[in-house]
Order: sequence, then C-alpha cells, then structure tokens
Amino acid sequence: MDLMQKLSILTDSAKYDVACTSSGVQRAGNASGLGSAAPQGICHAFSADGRCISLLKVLLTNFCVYDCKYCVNRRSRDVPRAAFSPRELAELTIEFYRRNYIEGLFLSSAVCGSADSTMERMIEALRLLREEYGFRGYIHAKTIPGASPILIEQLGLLADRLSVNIELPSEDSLRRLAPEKTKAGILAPMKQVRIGIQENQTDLVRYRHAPRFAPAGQSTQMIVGASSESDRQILRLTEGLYQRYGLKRVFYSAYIPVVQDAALPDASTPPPLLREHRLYQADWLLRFYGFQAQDLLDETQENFNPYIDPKCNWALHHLEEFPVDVNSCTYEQLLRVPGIGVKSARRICTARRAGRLSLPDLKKMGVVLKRAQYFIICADFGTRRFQAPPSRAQILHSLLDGQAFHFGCEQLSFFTPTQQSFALPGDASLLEKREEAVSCLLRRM
Amino acid sequence: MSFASDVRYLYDGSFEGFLSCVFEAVYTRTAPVDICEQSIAQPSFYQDVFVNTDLAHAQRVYDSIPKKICPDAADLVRDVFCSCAPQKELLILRFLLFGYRYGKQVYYMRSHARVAPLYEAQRHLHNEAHLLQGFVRFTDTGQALVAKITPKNFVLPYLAPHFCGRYAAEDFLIYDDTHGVALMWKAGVGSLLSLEALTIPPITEKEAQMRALWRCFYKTIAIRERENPTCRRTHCPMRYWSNMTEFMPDPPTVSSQTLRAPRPISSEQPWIELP
Repeated sequence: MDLMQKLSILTDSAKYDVACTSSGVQRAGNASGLGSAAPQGICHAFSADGRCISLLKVLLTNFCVYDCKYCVNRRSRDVPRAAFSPRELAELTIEFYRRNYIEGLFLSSAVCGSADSTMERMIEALRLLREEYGFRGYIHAKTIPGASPILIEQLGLLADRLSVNIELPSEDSLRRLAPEKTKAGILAPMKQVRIGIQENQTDLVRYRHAPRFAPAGQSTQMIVGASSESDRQILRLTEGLYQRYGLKRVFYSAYIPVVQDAALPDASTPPPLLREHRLYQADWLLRFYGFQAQDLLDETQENFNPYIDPKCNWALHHLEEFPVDVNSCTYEQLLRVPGIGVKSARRICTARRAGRLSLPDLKKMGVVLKRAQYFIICADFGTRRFQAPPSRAQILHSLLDGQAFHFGCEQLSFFTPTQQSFALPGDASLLEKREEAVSCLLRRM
Repeated sequence: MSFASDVRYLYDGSFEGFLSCVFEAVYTRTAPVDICEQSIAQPSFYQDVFVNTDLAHAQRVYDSIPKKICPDAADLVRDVFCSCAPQKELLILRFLLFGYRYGKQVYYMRSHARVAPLYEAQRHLHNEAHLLQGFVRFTDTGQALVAKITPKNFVLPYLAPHFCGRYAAEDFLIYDDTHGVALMWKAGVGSLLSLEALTIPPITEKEAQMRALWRCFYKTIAIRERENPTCRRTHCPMRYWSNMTEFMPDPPTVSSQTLRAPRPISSEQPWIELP
C-alpha cells in the first residue's frame, strides 16, 4: 500500500476527532531543531466544512479490537485498514511542517493488539520526531484507554497536549454504546495526567531544566446526540471536568450517523449542529465570562433553546440586572451583556478612561450593538429611552437567532412591502413559526 | 497650524521620509491636504512639495512620540504606516498633531475620529499578519523554501520574527508580490530585499508528491455531512486561495489507483496478530 492510500484511509478514520487546536504552549525556535510553538495557536487551513486544520490529524492505525457502536473504526465494520510505521509518519510530518502546511501533529490510534503495544508505537513515532528530527512544533497525542501509567508518563514528556476521550456524557450510555469501556477506565488516565501536570509545575519551579510534562494541558471530547442526555447534564459534566480535572478544553462532536446500529439514532438523522453550537457557546461562557453551569440551565430548563443563544437566554431571565451603564459598570457586568465579548469589554474599559462613551463611540470602537442595545445605557442613549423600557416580548422578538429558522435576522426595509405582494410561499410559514416561537418562549419565562 | 493650505507633500515612500514630512509640516506650520508617495502620486491641482528624507529630522519626530504621547503610540504609528489604510499618512499626521496637543490621553480615545481609524488599520494589519502565519505555503526547490504571498498590508516585517525563529536552520524566501519585497533568510541572517518578480523553478518529484499528499489530506479531512462553504470563506478569505497549495488544481495523474477496501497483505500486518 503506498503512502497516499495510507494517508487517505487514516485521515478518513481520524476526521471525526474534534480537537485541532495548537494553542497553550510557547516554545521559541532554535538553530538546532525545526519548528516553534505559538501560545495563541495558528490555523493553517480551513477544510470544506469550515473547521480549522492546524495539525496533521491522523490515526497511527485503524485496526481496532474494540467494537464501540458509534465508531467508524469498530471491529465489525468492513472498511479499508492501514497502519503507518513510526518513521513514515515522522517523515511525513516533517515534510508537511517544512512547507508550513501544518502546525504539528495530532496523533491518535485505534487499539491494535493491546493498549500498551499501541502506546509503545505512538511513543516510538513521537520519540523519532522529537529526538531524531529535532522537531519543536506542536504535538497533540491521545492516550489509549487502559494503557499503563508509565507509558502515559512517557507520552506526556514527548507531547504538548494529552487527551483522553470521555466519548459519551454518562456512564449509562457508555455501557450501552461502548461496552468495552468504563467510566473508571477513562477517568483514571485523566487523573494521572492532571497529577502529572501539577507535579511538573512544582518541579519546574525548583529545577529550570526539568523535562516538561504536557505543557499545553489536557483536553477531552464527547459525542452529542448519540445518547439521550440533556444539555444540562452535559454542561454540568463539562463544568466538573474543568474544575476537578483542570482541563483546558472540552470538545463536543455532533453525532454523525456513519454506522448503523439498533442502539443508535436512525441513519437519516441530521447531525445536531445547532445543539453542538449552543453547547460551545455555553462552554465559552463557562471559561471566559464567569458563568456557572447552573446559571445557564436549571431544573426548569433542561435543554438549550434553539432560538436564542445561552447568554441572551440568561439575560432575558434576569432583566432585573439590566440595563447596565457602560460608563460606570464593572468589567464583570459588561461581560454579562449579550453581544459584548471579552475584546469589546476590554476596549470599553480602556476607552472610558478618556471620557464618557456614547452609542456612536461604541460603534466606532467595533462593539456590536445588535443585541447589546437592549441591555445598555450610555452617555446619549438609554436614560430617556429606558423610562419606557422595551418589554421582554420586544427584546425577544429581535434576539431570535436566524440560524434556527434558516434565514437571516429581521431586516428593516425602506418601503415596508406589504406581506401579500412580496411574500414568497415559504415566508408566511416562517413568519408564523417565528411568532409561535416567541409566544412559546414568553410563556415559559 | 490655524490655516488650511493647498500644499501636497510628496516623499520617497520610506518611513523616515514620512517622518520628515511630519517635521516639515510642524515647523513650516502648514497643514498639507495630502501626503503621497512620489512614485504613485497622481497629478493634481495642488501645489506639490517634495520633502527630502532627513534622517536627523525623522529621528527627532520618532523620539518625540513616546515622550509627548506614549510609548505604545509609537508602535501604533509604525503599524499604521505598514497598513493599507487609504491616506494613512494623513491619518497619522492628524493623530500626531492631536497627540502633541493633548498628550497621553489621546491613546485611550479609541472612539475619537482622529484615533479610531488608526486602531482599525492596526487591527487589519495584525489580523492579516496572523492569518498569513498559517497561510504561507512553501515550495521546496532543493536549495531553499520559497513562498509567494499577495497581502493587502505590508506584513513582511511582522512575519519575519515568526518564520525566522521557526525555520532557523533552513534557508527560505517569502516574496510579497503586492509590494515587490522579499524576506530572505539565509544561513541565519535575515534581510528584506526589493524584488521585481519571482520565478519559481519547476517543482521536483518529491515536491509534487508532497503537494499531492497534502491535497489528499485536505480533501479527506472534511466531513461531508457538515459542509459549510460560508464558514470556510469567513475564516480563510478567497483572496488567499491563489497562493495556497490545497486550492491548486491537481496535476494530471498518471494512473488512478482505486481505493476499494484493500485487504491487508500479510507482510503489512501492523505488528500483532489480528483478532
């Protein structure tokens, strides 16, 4: 089998892995080696599905002993199988890296033989890269469930980021869909990596040249939509992972029905992309905006609303905290305003040192006011306006996410066309659907 | 500076030349209607004044920025000069005069009409430089790695530290086709050269193979069910595509190999007995 076929097969098997980030570690280049790592991460290309390609994402092999029901590489599936030799893979990585195609390597593998022998092969490939080729770029390695702790430690010393896939959001679905894997078996290596990183940090304080263990931390991913967990369960799990295991990222992957099984959703189910999107939005709120999982979802609401994003949803439920005055509120309050992100909030904090800000000022600084305008007051805007504050229904109407209806946001028109003359056949039903969504959401609030 | 004039300054296109124009404007108390690079200036009805580049004057102006405004403002001015903002020279001049008058606080007036356009231009430059750190595609010619880019802003000085660190042991050349400048890194020494055109020698067999492998990887990694061309265009605007390997058409293949579930040959068994 030639290299092209191998690459094609093993990329095809790896493409459902989500993580492709290259951030979190700074390593300057030097004349004795090849490559460097930038702390912000660099995307090198974007594939046809719009996801970034930063790392050469391949499996070392797709021969697998497991028979996880959702997996494309399950034992019982009839697909072409291949394996890279460690040297082949190292050479390919170096050649791609020299041409600036990639930022590094993302190495995962199906379990071929035992977990330990698979890990040994992976370590061999990484050792070749690091020691023989002097590779200083980014390496993300997946630990194989069930591998022995000593191998995980070796892998962590070669790679920048380690990850253990949690696969499914609950033990119950794990038992159903991946019978060979257990919750304890997944969490044990995760715990080991966390302890390893913590120990390494104290070592580094004491000895400057101590070898670095997984300097970019660890991450995990889970499949959304293959089992019946609610968004609230997933989000609480995520929060727990961030707090207890010190993860850098939790990735969600919308389940795509590639394999048929009675335990899985029907093959014609479209991948729940909007749900995945909402989960990522909430994930960002947890990591950068000071939100807690229970702020976003509680007993009364188990799932995210497809029609409005989690932050707007929170704001609409907490209208008593708004409007905030951008000229006097704290940074944390600014972060909670829908439409204002970390960058805008920082810009506002800098700019208001020089004088009171008005709405055109905010616009000129690049703050997006589409959503924020309902929740802020500033120098020339708001005090008069909020004497008769917009009602919840009005706000909700303009915040509805067009993505959920497959059309853009509501646009103002110069000529206000009569609905009868211009409406396309689909328009009326969409409008109706929209009205329905608003009234339904209002009732729930 | 109280009166408007109909003078247009011409300079040689260098940063020092531009700073000399600022010096000239301040010390002759004129407010030029425009400042243009001489080689690209179009004929106009204004009175053209060519300002000679005076390194001492330029240095005085450059030193005055951190002293009278703030150190970050000097970076801002340098960044905007490398950006592609229309009439960037005039924007900078107005910002500097504003800053000389009001001091440090102008740097924080992010929404002021004399300051906001500079931040916008700086952001555009930094964004493009960051994108190009990923989108540059090298061709291995056998002697060196060669790449061509067509950015809007003059990003080479911003790319240089990144690439010179990353490929410290290699020799490479990045040619900026828009500005006719190349960044060359040879035997551990980097330089910016002006270059009229760049011809890349015919690609070697190995290079062709690597390109084919990369295109294969690029095609395979996309998930068909999630296809989203708009998202791709937002992240990687189409103006970069012309220089990227993955968007170049595949060369005619000699023999098309089929990929129809080849069973593993016994010699290629990975390393254990399969179940």
